[in-house]
Amino acid sequence: MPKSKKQDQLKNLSTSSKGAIFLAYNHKVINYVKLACLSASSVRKYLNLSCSLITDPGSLRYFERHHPTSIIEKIFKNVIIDEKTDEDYKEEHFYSKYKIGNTDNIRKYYDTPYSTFTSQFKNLTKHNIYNLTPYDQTILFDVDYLVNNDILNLAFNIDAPIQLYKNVQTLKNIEPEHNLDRRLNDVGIPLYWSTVIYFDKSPISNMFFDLWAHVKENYDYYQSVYKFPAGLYRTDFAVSISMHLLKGFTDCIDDVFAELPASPMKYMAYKDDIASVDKNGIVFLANNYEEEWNNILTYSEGENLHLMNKRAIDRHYDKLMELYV
Amino acid sequence: MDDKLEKALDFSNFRQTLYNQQQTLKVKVINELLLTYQESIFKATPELIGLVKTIVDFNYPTVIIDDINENPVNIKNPSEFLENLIATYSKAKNSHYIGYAKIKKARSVKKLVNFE
Repeated sequence: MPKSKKQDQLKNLSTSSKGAIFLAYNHKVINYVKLACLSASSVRKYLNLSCSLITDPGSLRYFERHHPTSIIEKIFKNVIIDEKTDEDYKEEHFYSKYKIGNTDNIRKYYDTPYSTFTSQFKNLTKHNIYNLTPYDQTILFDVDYLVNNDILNLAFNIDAPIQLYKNVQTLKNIEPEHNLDRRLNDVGIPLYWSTVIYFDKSPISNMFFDLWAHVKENYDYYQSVYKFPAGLYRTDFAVSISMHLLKGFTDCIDDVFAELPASPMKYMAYKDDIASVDKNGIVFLANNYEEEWNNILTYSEGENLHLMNKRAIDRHYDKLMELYV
Repeated sequence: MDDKLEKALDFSNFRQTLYNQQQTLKVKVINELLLTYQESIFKATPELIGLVKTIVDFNYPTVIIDDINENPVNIKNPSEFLENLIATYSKAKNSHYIGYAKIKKARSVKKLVNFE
């Protein structure tokens, strides 16, 4: 590439818009818009990024009935109503394949080892984010991810169009105890997490999201090839397969599809709980996967965290929000 | 329960939590050692700082350094790069020292995890 063209590209990159985006589609049990407000507050505090919310009309109406509208206006620069979502959920050709019982794409959620609930997992349109984002460089956050330092800002300065996490650690600083949090099956390809994804508007990013859509549309076929558990559509699986295909069917360190800075991503599992929140950090009860009565206390301050137990977030919501005021 | 056994188990719980908090601190500091330069990501290790300092001392105009993914990067201003490395390293290790002192001072699980 001629030097001047490369310099122009770099110049464009430095002046391009950067931002964070959150998808929030409520279901019967969890108010995702409320969680998005917490996550976006953490992003605004530590990464100083403009935040946008993508939601459906029903979720937004529900939030506005129970909370002041000014909260959304204060936290999010843009609220994008994804009108396509309801139609997508009605797509019989895809949706009917993933019926469990009477409701579609049902997921079993744990809240500590002693409580479970089931609800619809509305994640079918996550790959549309490439077309919906208003930014040139975007970090997509799941609403249960809390940012507690500025390390993710490094992602904007790296010449890699797609960045996401592969390596993860539990609150006990060990690899995930559940094999499906590491690989698609016991001897399968590694799991990439769709929890946080950096992407730009390059053709390579476009290709990644197109392939993600293709994997979703042909989920049954890829389930038979990659032998992951059938039934639930998981975006982590779709992303992992897309990465495997784009990396030439190998698992290599790649400078195009890179790991996000601050790998491994730390996460609180569904069976962990929040014990308390103080002015600087969070005290957790880290559960032992094999001995459910066995917990240890852990303290986290200044670390980014994926809090999978969403009901625990809800129980401590106000205190958690105080961390990001 | 026998008092001696109870004390031993309490101590064991404390050591387990202590070890976990030390590991948490180490991971946090490793992340703080990361920096970006010329669109690549590096880790400010003592070895890298030593190498770049040597390059600067020998007045080499440029130097090829591997980023954390082992991709070679042509560093066009080694002096500036060295300054960035030292600043990142110092900040991270200062944070390590403060965190370690806090953990070292704690004498109970509750103190270790700020749980009162």
